[in-house]
Amino acid sequence: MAETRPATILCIEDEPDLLEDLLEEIGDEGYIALGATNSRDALALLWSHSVDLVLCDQQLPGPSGLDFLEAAGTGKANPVFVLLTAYSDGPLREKALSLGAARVLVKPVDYDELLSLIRQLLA
Amino acid sequence: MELENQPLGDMPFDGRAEKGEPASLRRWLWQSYLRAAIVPLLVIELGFLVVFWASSALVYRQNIAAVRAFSGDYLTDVAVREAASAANNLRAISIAADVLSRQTHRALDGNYDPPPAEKARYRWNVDGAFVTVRDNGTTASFYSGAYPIGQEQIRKVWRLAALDPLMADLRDTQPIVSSIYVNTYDSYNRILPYFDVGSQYAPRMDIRKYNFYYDADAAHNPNRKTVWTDAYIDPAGKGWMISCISPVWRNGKLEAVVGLDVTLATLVNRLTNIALPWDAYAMLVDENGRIVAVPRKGETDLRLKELTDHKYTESIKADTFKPDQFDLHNRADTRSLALALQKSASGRVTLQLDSPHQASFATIPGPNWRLVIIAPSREIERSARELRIRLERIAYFMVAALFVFYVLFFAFLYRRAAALSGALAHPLDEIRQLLDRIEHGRHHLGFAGSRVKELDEVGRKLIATGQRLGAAQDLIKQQDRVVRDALERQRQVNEEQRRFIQIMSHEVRTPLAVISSGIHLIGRKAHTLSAEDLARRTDKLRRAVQRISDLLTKMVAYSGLEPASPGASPQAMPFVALVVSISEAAIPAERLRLLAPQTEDECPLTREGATLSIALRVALDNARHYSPPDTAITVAVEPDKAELCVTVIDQGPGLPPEEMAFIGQRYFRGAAASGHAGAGIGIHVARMALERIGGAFELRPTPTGCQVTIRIPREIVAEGNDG
Repeated sequence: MAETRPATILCIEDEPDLLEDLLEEIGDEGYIALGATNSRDALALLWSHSVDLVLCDQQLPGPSGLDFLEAAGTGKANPVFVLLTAYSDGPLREKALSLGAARVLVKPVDYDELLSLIRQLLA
Repeated sequence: MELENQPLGDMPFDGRAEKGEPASLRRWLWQSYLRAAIVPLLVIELGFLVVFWASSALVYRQNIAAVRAFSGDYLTDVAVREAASAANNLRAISIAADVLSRQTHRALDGNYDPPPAEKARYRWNVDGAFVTVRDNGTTASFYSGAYPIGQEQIRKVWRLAALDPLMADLRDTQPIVSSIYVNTYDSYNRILPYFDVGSQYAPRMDIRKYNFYYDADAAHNPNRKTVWTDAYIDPAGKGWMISCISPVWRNGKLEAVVGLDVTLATLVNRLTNIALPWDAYAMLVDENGRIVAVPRKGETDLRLKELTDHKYTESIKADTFKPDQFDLHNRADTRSLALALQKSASGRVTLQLDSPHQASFATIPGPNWRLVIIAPSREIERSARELRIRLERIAYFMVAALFVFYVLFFAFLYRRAAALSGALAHPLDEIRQLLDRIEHGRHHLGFAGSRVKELDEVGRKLIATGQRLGAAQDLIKQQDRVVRDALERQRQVNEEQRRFIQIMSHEVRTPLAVISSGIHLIGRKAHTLSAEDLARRTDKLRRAVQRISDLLTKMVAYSGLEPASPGASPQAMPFVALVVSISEAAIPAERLRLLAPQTEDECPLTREGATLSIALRVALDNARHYSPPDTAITVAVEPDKAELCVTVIDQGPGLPPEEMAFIGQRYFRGAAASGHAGAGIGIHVARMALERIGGAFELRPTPTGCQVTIRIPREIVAEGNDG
């Protein structure tokens, strides 16, 4: 019986303290956690790894989270996309969902709920 | 009401328009002219014509009556006058006959013996008559063979020959007398002028059988006066005539009858010569109503032929009188005249012959004849009728003239209506165009004016109204712009507030997320965390809390930028020293590169130290945050004649061209701000504070980063005055 590979989750957050906490929480849950502070680094990780789920902040230096979502959609990889944002406006949510995001979460996120959502989305 | 929702152009302006299509102005004026002009014109003119015709008819009737009265009187006067004249002539003849009668009586009583030459003219003819056979310029003599002729009879012939000179004188003095004669009871006839009595008379003629003899006998003329006979055919061959005869009584016995003949032709000529107007003619009627003489004019009216001539195919052996058609009593058309002649000696009467005629008559004393003057009514009334015809022609001419006048007048009215409608329609059309222009928002209008005062006033008031509307519209537009600007500003404010809230949400949520994450991890790993690990994590939490605190502090500080209260006088501070102090506090010494004047004399004081401090700190914070940590930040103080300048130059990412238009707007954060705490209000607040004092906060990219220039006007810098 083949061993199940843990899911790879790419975290994109320009706030280093928050990115560190996210990677720790996800890694503690047994996932392979990859981190990037901007879209360009994130795309490099996305194309170089088999990423199953992307947790992406909307406000990033350079291309935004939605820009990354659009760029990621043109490649072969098709991970589940969860957008994190400190903004709570409706149009951003609608645009993200229309581009293929599975969820849009507003900071601060409860980690128990986030991990539960990740498990649900990767199930 | 339904009309409230009806378009203005479809609304009837009065009830009339609802009944039918409105008429054009020209047609309306023309119809008004017609209504106003045709009724009084027709009434007046037709009334005038009726009055004219009625008065003409009245005048005509009065003229006819006057002419008839005048003509009747005139013709009666003429009849009376001519009757008197005729009476005089006839009386002269009667006197002549009486004279001849007396002289005949004397001749019979005498013993005249003519000369042999006279006697030589006599012969006995074969029928036993003793007649003259030669004319010696005197009389002719005929002794009828009806009686025995002896010596006594011969001596009577010689004695009566004494009358020849008298008879010649009488004929000469009585021009209308055609012959003069003496007839004896034994049929002897002596007559002047001479003619061939032997061949003319019947050889045994009995003179007593003729009216020119027996009308004077005792049976017919018991008064033994001179009388006139009826018209008869003269046996002596003179045709139709009448005779004035007078008896010669001798010893109680009618010895002879003398007579003077007047031919009807003579009488007719005399009647014809009477000058009469109106184509009138005169005729003689005897006392029995029988026409004695009538001229040719009367023959047509009376449908008879006057008996003036007679063709003697044989001797006249007895009386021959005029036929009954000459008797007025026997004619239906003249019976009224005959009755009038019987009733009065003179007068007038109307006759209906072939046409109406007026007859006036008067009595000729002596023969008791009537001189009747007859005139056709149409001739009498000709002048009146011609006057009436002329008046009728005048009336027809007036009708034609009126018709022509009406045609010309209505043509004039039509042209006048056209001209008037043009004069009204042009300004009305111009007014309509003005309304159209006003309706389409064009208020700078012109009006050429009108000769009609009301229209001119309407046009000019419309111009004034348009100008007022234009001014009002301009004011509305201006107010609309103000409102729109206010709305736009409000929208911008709302947008800024929304952006601010989002930024605040982001800026607060991000450290909150760090705090939340840290708390969760500490809670989850509290029993496994080392003291060092816990300290590191709590330090992260403290930084996050400090970040939120700094954010709120900055917001409070920026929001406190209100205009200085009046009367407050900020303390003057050295400009260069202030710049140096702020720069050294904000930038680590290893990165700061100050380019400032060395002596205070070259730099003035400023009372806007607070504004300078805010603006310079914003510029220094941005330079420090957005440039690499190992790069220098240059602060240069550059005195200028007009203003004081301080420039901050960094070596950061610079300013993207697409963001140049937005930098400085409240809450705007460029792409380079990602990952850096901030609310996007620093540059906005700095610029607003400087502009409030007349200064400026300018950003421009450089090849190696960004340059910020802060300008403060020198006027507000008080030299050496510390207040």
